[in-house]
Amino acid sequence: MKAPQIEYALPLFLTPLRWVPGPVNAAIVPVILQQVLAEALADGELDILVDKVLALEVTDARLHYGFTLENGRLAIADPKGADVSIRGDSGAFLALAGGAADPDMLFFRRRLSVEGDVALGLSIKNLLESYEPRHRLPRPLCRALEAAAAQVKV
Amino acid sequence: MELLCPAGNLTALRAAVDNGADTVYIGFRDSTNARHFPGLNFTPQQAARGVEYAHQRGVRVLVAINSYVQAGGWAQWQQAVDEAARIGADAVIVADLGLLEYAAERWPSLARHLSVQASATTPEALAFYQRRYGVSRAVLPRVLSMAQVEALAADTDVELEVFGFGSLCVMAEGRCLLSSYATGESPNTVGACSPAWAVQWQETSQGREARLGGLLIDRFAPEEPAGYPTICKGRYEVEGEIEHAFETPTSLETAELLPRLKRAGIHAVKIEGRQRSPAYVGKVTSIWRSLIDRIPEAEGDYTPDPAQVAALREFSEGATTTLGPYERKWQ
Repeated sequence: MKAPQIEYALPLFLTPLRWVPGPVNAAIVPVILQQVLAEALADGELDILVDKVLALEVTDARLHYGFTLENGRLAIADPKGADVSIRGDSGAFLALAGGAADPDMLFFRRRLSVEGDVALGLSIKNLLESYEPRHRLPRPLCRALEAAAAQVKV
Repeated sequence: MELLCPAGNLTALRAAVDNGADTVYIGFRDSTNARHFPGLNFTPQQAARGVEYAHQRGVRVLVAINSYVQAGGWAQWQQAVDEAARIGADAVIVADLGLLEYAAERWPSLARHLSVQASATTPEALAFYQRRYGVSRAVLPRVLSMAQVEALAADTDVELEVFGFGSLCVMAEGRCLLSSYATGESPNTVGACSPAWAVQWQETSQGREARLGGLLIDRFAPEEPAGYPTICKGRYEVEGEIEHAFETPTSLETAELLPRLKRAGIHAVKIEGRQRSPAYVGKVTSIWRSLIDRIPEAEGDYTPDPAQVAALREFSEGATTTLGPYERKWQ
């Protein structure tokens, strides 16, 4: 795969996720998050999301999710009226998930934006950097994610 | 020369150690250090794990306790010094005189470095800190020209540490109250310039608006690079023109000065950025390791590897760099 191509292909791959029915997302997404963020949850670091909603918006794939913490578990929430919204293109999110990019740099370059409760957004950024959820994925998947992330031009 | 790298969490600390840092500097999760942001920094337990990881690999760990002790806050700052000693840190980086005295008396074998926040710039000031509090090293404030750094180094036997790379500030270190104007808080009081709770970004049709404590301090056009909003780097209307009235956002990048710094006897070069990601720490550390390992011994023109300089620039706030005060003719 050549460097720039992944950025064009990615939104096309991701866009179909838009049509995944809400209840399916609500069932599957928390299970994955629970797995990759188990350590942070156990340390109580995600308690900052109690009664708060974090929205993630992947602009080019037109995906928009909200997350909150309910009874000690991550759950899908309505992203409208979220306390903090982090918005970016799919390449930026891939680079972050794969640990290939510095979020500050993506923010300075306008690939990411943060609106709402900045302190909450910063806490989440710092906690994701600290726990590196990709390392909780099965090893081949983590490697594949890192390799794909390294292809993103930032 | 020693390479000092920042870490805001264990992952970043490991990135610094694995990529060639000689020393890593960290802070605790409270207002006792100048990078106090939500979710950043180390609990004492995490710091102990970091020290263990670094020491096993021959890397030293310093703890920055470099904000000034606030009225009624003595116990908190004292506890930070005690924790640093207990976890086996190699030195504390301190600015407050009372805290320096406490550290020297309570933990005499724990080395004391004078923080950049103390703004010591003369041989006499350095000699005082050395004699009175046993300070072994001073971090020079980013206000001195290269010639002044050289002159100071020739005149003191306190080890000197200088900033080599990272975000710059308005350079009134230890004395800046601009953030207090908008937020009631400053690095010297709560450990953060532009605390996150006071920051507000809004994406509008005119671009990204940045507010601090409700005050509009900048508006970035859609494609324009944007930075973290600080009063000193904002744009204001002055005599009908909207401009960077205090300073232009840019980053310090001094690779080309390395041979001169080394010849001057500068002991350590520091990379700024405890608030940055492990990705930043890892990449910047690895580039600076290689730059420091390749400093030519001979005098004469020196041009650092352009590819490495370009890679460093990628990480800069504003994506432009400067030699800052090192090349300034005025003071």
